Amino acid sequence: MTQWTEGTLFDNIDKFASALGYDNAGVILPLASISWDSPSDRDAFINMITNKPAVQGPQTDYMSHADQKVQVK
Amino acid sequence: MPAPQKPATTPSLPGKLSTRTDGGPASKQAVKRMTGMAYGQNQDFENTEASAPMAKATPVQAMTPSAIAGAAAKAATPAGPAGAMGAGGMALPSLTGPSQRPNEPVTTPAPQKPSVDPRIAENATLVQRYMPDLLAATSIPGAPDSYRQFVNYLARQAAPVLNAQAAPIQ
Repeated sequence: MTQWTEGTLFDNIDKFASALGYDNAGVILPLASISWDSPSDRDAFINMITNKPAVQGPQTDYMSHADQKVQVK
Repeated sequence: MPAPQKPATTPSLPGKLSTRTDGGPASKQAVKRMTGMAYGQNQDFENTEASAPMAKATPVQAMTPSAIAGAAAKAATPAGPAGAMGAGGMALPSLTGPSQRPNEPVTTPAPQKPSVDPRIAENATLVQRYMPDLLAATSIPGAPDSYRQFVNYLARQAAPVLNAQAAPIQ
């Protein structure tokens, strides 16, 4: 079986799910289906819409990012 | 001599002074002159209006007070034929009728409807279509844990919705 490859459909799903939140599968799958020119282009798009770099990891909800922005020290 | 199909109208002369020759009412409205225009500037408007004359307006019949009262009484009838039935055939209450909830204070809030996240049903549809492929990808060597978590989350979240859809209708 082939190795997990950067830039494939499932890698795109992983990146968008981590960036947008697991509840937004209706947005994640269409975005992951786009034939991005390169993983860096895709990550730049994720960075643009979430204002955070694309990382793989646990669920990160974009709404919680918005909450963090308005926190006053 | 037959009567003309499109009789001429004479807006400047009312009633008996009209020069209409056909003996019947005009089928089109007469051109009305606009007032307040500077000298010589009304011709364009008249030409434009005359190029597409409006159909003769139906005269409005004034209602007598008894007719108005009869129409109001007909509309206030709960089992009226039209206008008194709401969606689904349920009779709408009258504005002036007695309260349908006499023992309920007017400040009682409306009952809360259960809020259902529409994304759950949407995710369930996606899971039904793509879950076999998504699951197969979890076994790819090197698949990140975050991807597996996402697939597990989708399957766990969509399971109740899919089970409800598969349940037989009673």
